[in-house]
Amino acid sequence: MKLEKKLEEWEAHGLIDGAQRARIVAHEGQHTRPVLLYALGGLGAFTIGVGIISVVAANWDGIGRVAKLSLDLLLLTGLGAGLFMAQRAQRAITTEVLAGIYYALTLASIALLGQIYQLGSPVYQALLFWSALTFPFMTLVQGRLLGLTWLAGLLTSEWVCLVALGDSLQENPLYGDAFTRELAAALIVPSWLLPLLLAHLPVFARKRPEVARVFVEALWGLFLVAALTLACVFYTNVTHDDRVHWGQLPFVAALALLGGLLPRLYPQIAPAARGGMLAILGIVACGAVFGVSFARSELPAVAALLQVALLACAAFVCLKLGSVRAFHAFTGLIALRVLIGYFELFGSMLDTGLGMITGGAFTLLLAWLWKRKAPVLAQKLLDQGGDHVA
Amino acid sequence: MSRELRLAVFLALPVLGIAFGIVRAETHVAAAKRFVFDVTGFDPRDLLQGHYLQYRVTLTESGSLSSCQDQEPDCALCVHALMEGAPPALQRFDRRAGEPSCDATISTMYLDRLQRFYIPEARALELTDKLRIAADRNRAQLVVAVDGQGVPRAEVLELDGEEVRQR
Repeated sequence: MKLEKKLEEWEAHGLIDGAQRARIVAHEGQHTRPVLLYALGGLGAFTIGVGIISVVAANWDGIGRVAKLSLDLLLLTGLGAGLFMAQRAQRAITTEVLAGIYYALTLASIALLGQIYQLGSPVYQALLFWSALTFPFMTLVQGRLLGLTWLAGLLTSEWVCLVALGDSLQENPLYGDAFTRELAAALIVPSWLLPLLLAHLPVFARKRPEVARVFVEALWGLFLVAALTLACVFYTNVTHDDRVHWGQLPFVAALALLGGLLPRLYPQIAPAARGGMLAILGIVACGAVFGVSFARSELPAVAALLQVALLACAAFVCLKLGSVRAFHAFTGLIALRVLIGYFELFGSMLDTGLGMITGGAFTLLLAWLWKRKAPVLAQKLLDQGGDHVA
Repeated sequence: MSRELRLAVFLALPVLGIAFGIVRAETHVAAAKRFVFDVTGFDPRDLLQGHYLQYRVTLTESGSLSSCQDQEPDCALCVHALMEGAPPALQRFDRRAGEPSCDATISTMYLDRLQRFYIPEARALELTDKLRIAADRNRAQLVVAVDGQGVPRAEVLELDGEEVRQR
């Protein structure tokens, strides 16, 4: 609908003729993906999965052990068989819905097993078992929503395993707090990089383009959130014992590796966008090294500057990728961050009437600047490079 | 491997994994020896966390054959059964220093797993109260099933004579 309206506009302005318009409509008609249908299918599958978990939990006392386990195995087998047939018949939506239910039910089954036999195993073992059992068939998933659910499951499993590893090392007198802190610093970027590289595997990107795309988008979003959070390290002081030494090496090395791989991973995007991504990686590396290498007092201004720089780079990258809307969202966040900085500095003045007036005026000024200048800046930046998404 | 066979293997994995888990757990149940331990309330505020009861299993050790820490993989408790219904005698030992003669051994690294007992959600509050009262009267006990590998599992919780178990 949106496309037809645009095409009508372009034809009215003489940019395209009627024949071109018809060809575009025909082409788009052939390549349309039922995104909404995928989304609804994924949502329905997820809801059924959650419902099954709830039903099992609610009727816990009324069902016997053998009945519970038999029913569970029967359900799993039925779903697996249904999924096999749906995949063979190339029914994308059915495959999507069944895969979502199968994914949730496998986790519910592991929980059921643990509770019936009072296994008492750590959560990380259950999640690891779940991810290992479901990984092969989840590669059948095609939709964005289920892809995102799968990524969330994988990342949660990975994170819980790392936390369990940290806890066990911390309790072990051979390693203790300092070693655990170094290891955490060492693993944080590689643990994020691993799923990103998986998403960029040529076979994955070719066969599951939507899932690969949602993996990449979500992982970069997560990276930005983590980077903004990491900047908050400057809100605390670092004592001699808090410093991180060798753990920084893998941290920075993984960022450098990713920086070097950017042209290979994203050959289709504008060089300026890759430059912006490289700047983000550089800011994170410098911020981490400067933040935890030596004992220092609190530096809230550095935290604010780092966050503004990260948001500015993210806005620039989005613009160069052709997303003006995301650019405006990030510039809005920059204005918000500046405002927070203002209240951090002069917050105590809000107790006075004059302080409230200046605070309010500053807020209005920022809103005005953002509204007026952001579009101008966007145009200027676009004109400068002249490079757009390839 | 043909495409269809590979797909079938992928899809069978969860079913086989869960079935393997059931067989493993049933083997444990069949092969395990059972011992009864007293339990005490951990902290009234922590007794109930979600769908399980939390408590402290009383593991009174009568000396040690060799010293070791709970988290060490070779550390274990040598279990000697006494009278029926009474807690067994326990002696700590390090497996590297030799395996003593015991009725069963419990690896200490699994002891944490005994501190909780999954219960039906609908009976959560009732069982919390029962556990507190039974623990106060020294009438709360846990039946622990220990297999040949030294892995213990909570099997039955006995509160004032009432058996609580997963059906």
